[in-house]
Amino acid sequence: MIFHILSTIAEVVILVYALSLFLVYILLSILSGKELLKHFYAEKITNYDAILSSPFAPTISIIAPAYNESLTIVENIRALLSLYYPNFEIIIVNDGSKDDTLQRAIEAYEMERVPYVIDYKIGCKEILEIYKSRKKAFNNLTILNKVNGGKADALNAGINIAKGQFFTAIDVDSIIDPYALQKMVLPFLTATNKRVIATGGVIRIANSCKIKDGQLIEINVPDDFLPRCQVIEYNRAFLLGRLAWSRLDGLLLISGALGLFDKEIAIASGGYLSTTVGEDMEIVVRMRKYMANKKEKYSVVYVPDPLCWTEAPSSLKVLGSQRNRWTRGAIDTLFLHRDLFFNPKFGVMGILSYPYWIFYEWLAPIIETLGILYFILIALFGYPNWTFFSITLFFVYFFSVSFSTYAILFDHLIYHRYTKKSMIFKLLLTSWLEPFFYHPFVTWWALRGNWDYFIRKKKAWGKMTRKGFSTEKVPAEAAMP
Amino acid sequence: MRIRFLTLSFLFTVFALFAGMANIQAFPEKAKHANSNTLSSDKSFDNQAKDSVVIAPKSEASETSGTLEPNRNRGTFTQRLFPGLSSENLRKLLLDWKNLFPDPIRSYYVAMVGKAFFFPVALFLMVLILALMGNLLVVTGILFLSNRIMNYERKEKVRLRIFFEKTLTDLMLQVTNTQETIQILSHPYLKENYNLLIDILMEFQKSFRGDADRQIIELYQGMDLGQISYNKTFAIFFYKQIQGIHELANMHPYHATEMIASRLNDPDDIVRTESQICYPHVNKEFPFEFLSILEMPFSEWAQLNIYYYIKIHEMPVPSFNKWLGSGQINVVNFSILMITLFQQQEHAEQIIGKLKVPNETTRHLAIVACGELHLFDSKAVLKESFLGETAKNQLEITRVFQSIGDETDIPFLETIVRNESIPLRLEGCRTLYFLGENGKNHLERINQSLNDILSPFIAHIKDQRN
Amino acid sequence: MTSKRILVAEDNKLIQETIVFKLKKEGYEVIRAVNGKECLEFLHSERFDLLITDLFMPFVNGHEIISTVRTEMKSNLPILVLSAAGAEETILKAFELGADDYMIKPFSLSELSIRVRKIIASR
Repeated sequence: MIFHILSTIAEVVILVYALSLFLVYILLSILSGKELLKHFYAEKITNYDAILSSPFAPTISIIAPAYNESLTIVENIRALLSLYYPNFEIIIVNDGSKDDTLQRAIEAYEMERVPYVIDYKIGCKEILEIYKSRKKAFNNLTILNKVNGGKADALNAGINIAKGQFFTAIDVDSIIDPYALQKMVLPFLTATNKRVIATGGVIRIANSCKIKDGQLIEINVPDDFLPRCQVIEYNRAFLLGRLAWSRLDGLLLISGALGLFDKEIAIASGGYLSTTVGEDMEIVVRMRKYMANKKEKYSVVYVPDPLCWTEAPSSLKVLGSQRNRWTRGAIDTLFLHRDLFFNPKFGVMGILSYPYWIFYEWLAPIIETLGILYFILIALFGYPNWTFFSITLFFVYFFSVSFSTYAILFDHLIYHRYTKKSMIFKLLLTSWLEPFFYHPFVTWWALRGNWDYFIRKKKAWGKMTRKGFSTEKVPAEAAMP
Repeated sequence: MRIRFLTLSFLFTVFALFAGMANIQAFPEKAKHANSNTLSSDKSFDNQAKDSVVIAPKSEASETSGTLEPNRNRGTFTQRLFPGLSSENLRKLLLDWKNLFPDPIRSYYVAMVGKAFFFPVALFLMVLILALMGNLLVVTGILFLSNRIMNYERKEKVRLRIFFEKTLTDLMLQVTNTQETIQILSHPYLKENYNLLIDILMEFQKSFRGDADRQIIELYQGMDLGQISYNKTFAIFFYKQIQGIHELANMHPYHATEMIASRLNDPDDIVRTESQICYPHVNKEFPFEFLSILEMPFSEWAQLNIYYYIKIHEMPVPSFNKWLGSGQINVVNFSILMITLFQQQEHAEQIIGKLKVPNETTRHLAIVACGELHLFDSKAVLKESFLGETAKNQLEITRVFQSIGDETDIPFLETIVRNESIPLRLEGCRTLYFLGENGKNHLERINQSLNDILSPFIAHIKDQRN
Repeated sequence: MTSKRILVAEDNKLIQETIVFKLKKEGYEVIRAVNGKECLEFLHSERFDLLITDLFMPFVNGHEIISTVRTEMKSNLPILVLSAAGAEETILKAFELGADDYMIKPFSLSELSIRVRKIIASR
């Protein structure tokens, strides 16, 4: 009897959960589609040249933490210097690199140490030196050398010396669109009755694209299966998810690869948290809470333009490490800010976004796994209904494939970046195979992330070896507190 | 706390209702065993279930699946909730339709109805699967088709674009004149592509001015392209409306004046902003008059674009002091900014008056104006308000004294230099240092009196790159 | 007399083509560069009488090109900047680095023609 009741409850929970998840995805997609169309047409009439000439153009500080980027640092900085914006500075934060990243940058741009008084508005590891260029052409370039402390700590150090009204946190080896700053600053300028505190853009996968001297020359679909799956995943996330959340004013996450933040609010909120690996999500949540507590109207906006191209992991090991870290980062943020849960004081963030993240982002892989385990149990000890199971499986599969296809379609209709039939075919085929050969890994890594977080109490980034655009490199390592 | 509890309770209730209504049993075999263990003693329940349960008769059940057993619980509960609903009737209706199918398929259809009907959710899912499959096919088809169309259009557009650009360049370089150009572009084949032509004309206008600008407008008006733009302003889609307004404002001012004026306070942010941006285009004599009638917010983006237009076309500007008393705070702030940018020093008194208003941004802009316009009379007010100001404005006041400060201000600057705040100290040192020889000497003296605490600050500010 | 050689570094195709046609019509020999890197390659390998350059271009921006010409190449090649960037700081930086003239887009072709003539004549 008890077993019967429990199993009924389990089945109901799983079914209701699945159906509600699909419903939520559908709603988000519809909302995203509307917003995407609106943005696409608004872009056609926006005159960005007005920003280039304007004394109104806000000052921006680009903060790029660098750790062991020796082989690519020179070209990465060059690419940043070529961004199309009138009044910005670049702060490269050398986070205690063990190779000659600092020396290469100093030589290439004729940097010299300058006397500098640091105002530690946000706590960070010791800043050792500040370098500025002897050449006037690079007068907007600053290199900050500090003791290793991890990405969040490096960003805080950069914020401490940043002069701009806004700052953008980027990955130094990402390729930033030349118009990125103009496009990301636009929501701050067009806002009328709300203060925009942060904006983010679409991140695209640069694997197999032709890149020369830090500039994107030709766009291709990745040759390898794993990065191709990530292309579809990113499309779904950005074009069918985040845009909707931005519209609902419930966006909780701006990608660490590219985001533009109001410096004043970021400092007032306390800067990046260096004890978490999910610092990009955590700071957005904390900035939002800060504004909500001050009872000031604000918004976090998402710019659906592809503004940043980054290299996606192409090996299972590295990808697994990344996803493990993302899971731990998300859990960290969710637990740190559990007072948001269904709390109307925080508006959409408390009532919708946070619960969504709990139930449909954090718990999704767990419930999915429990569902599979439950069925295996029934299969072993009970009398499973294979027909019903098959039908449900087919439904889930076709829904997932449809969802991915819509993401490809939206991306194609709006941006038309993958122009060849073979590219589209590759993406579609990948979307058909993804649920079998990729999704299980993603679920497994998410579970491992949960295990590492709750059981092993793991906080560090973990080792990642990544093939750069031209070479191998090891990314930032967080110092254990 | 109470609201959270109520919200959670409400959600739980909805969930429970939904779950109860669904009342699914995916694995009825276990239910059969469970029922036989727990319910066999409850004969009255069994009888009740037999009377009202919505199950197929045993003969049909065995026809569909000999191993399946009816779900007694589901039928009872569903019947209680929806007394009028009879799934038996629905099942009978579906089975009646078996005659629509040819013989080979009929038996499968009956089997499917039996199985699926037994589990309504399965039926529902199967319908959804078919819908999704169909949807997938359609979307995939759209994807490939649209790619083909877009690639074709892109090639075609490139070809047309090259042609239009060449034609317009010939006009600008006086290889052809306006009449000849109109003749070339009036070819019937090209008429379908006038939207592209208008886009290119706008691009040319964005890049060139002087004679080129005049020629472009002549061409636009000569070909009566204004009608196309005018029609756009009545389109359903907002972006087309704005495109129309934009085109008319740049090319054909008279048509657009009334339309733009009527949308200056539009509730839609984008339409309103675009109208505000286009107003100076259509009212060159009084480009800022709309500030007097603004009731809706005036965004920084609109301000930026208007300033850009005024500057590019070197238009005369009015005295902005008349809007310093506006009820709209962003109009006030914009006016202060314009007074600063256009060096309208005659409004010094009013600017100084803005140093004490409640709005922090307005005060900030007024402080900046005092420095840019060298308003020496503002010094007393700035010093007086310094302590009560925000950190950001205190920094700005310190900075301003670089432009308007003199030796008499050294004691004031000394208090800033002795402040605990690092940014203030830095700015204070900078201002004192660049005040002149006296300032430098005084700074050195303060430094000595503080046991050289200020040496790093002085080194910092001496390097102009910092 | 050989025609004066002008290098036009501009990534906007429309503006580049129009300038090139205009200057060719006036008897100049005009070479195109579509980005900053290409511009520097031309400057290192060929001789020019004038450089017309945009500031915001792929690979290498205009400020760096001006700086390279003046400090590394130690050349007094006349440089005319043609850019949409009209902010005071940007203009001042260009002059401080060694630009001879600065025009803001949108610009007049006639005015460009006169300025080109004047700069070349003055050297």
